[in-house]
Amino acid sequence: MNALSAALEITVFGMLGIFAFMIIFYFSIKAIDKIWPYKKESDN
Amino acid sequence: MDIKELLPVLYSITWQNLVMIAVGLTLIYLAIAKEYEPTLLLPMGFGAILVNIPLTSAITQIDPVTGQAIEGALSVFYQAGIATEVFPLLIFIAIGAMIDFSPLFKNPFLLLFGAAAQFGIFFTMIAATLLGFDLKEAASIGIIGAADGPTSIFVSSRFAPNLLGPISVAAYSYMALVPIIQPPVIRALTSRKERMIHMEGHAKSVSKSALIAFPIIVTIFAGVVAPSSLALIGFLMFGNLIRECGVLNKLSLSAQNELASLVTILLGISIASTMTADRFVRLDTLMIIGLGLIAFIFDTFGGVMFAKLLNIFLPEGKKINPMVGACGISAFPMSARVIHGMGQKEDPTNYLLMHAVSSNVGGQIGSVVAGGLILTLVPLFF
Repeated sequence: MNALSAALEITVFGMLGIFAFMIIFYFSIKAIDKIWPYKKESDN
Repeated sequence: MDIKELLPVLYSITWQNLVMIAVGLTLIYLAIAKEYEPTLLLPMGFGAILVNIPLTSAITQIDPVTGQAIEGALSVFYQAGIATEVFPLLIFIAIGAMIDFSPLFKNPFLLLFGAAAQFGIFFTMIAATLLGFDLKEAASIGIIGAADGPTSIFVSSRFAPNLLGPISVAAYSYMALVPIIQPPVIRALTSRKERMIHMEGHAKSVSKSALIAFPIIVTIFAGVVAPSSLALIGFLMFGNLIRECGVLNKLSLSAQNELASLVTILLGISIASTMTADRFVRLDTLMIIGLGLIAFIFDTFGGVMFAKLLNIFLPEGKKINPMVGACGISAFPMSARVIHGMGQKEDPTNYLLMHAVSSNVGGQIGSVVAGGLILTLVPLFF
């Protein structure tokens, strides 16, 4: 496989991978925020 | 005894050495007069002068009489800190201790721009292969588009240590030039109406437990999905955990200040050990500088166009100002400030700073994830 076609494949998998990571981080943040919500007096 | 024996340097110096000394002086000028990333460019500039004076004892030289290697301090620093990846990883601890992830909790959706604005990395990698670089070199050049110096150094020290000097110079120079690079690209891609879009605020507090849990969960997740990325992401998140845990305030401050300063000096001057004339005064260097600019332009393109794509589906009143998409690069907080300034210029009542900061923090995560993915994917093609 030449460098160009490898680079194209890496681009596809790389961009999909970053979006996948970010989507999972998005749901992680949502879940963390739900499990440990901000409480004015006790938590902070 | 003639003058040749007294001052052998004068007879050994080449025009390439003089070019590199001029490059060093230029970097020092940019660092001091223009304040372009002075913490890195100044040590690199001074180091470039140090290593390009013939017969310098700063780098390892071969003794012409005995044929034995005489070790130079900068070469030792390079072997100890960059070849082993220790310096960039220590910098990640410092950066982690500096990052406040709470803006992401206020608007986690903007995290996606931290993915879209990494497009420049991959576009540039393809462009570099078209220019004849091999895949590892192309990936190292592309990572300039992470707009994140330590990630660029980490990836290129592993894949293309021969190109580390020009890649570092390009990465840090363009990071400093974000206020010059991004605005014209954004104006070319957006209408005035789009730049005037107001976004609703998310005034919300985040619990301390959530901020402590975030770096731990991200590290475990990244480790399970892409173990090769764990050094990068793990050290960043470790620094962040020191910051957020609340019981290591002294360590957190040390990481943000003393550790960052010390390692940055060593990192900059060690990179300079690779900036010798024989490695730097080449056509490749000019191509890398040009490709670095392309990387930043297409990062901005990726972020802006992704926002415009989302706006097709979002209802009126929920639309995203496409300029915020451009903040998905890692240059924090410069990119957020630039975009806020552009928004204010179009409409003084438009306050984009909070959204721009959220997107920019997403970019800091995105750049490290991109670096980790490049480290994971590229070896699969060999």
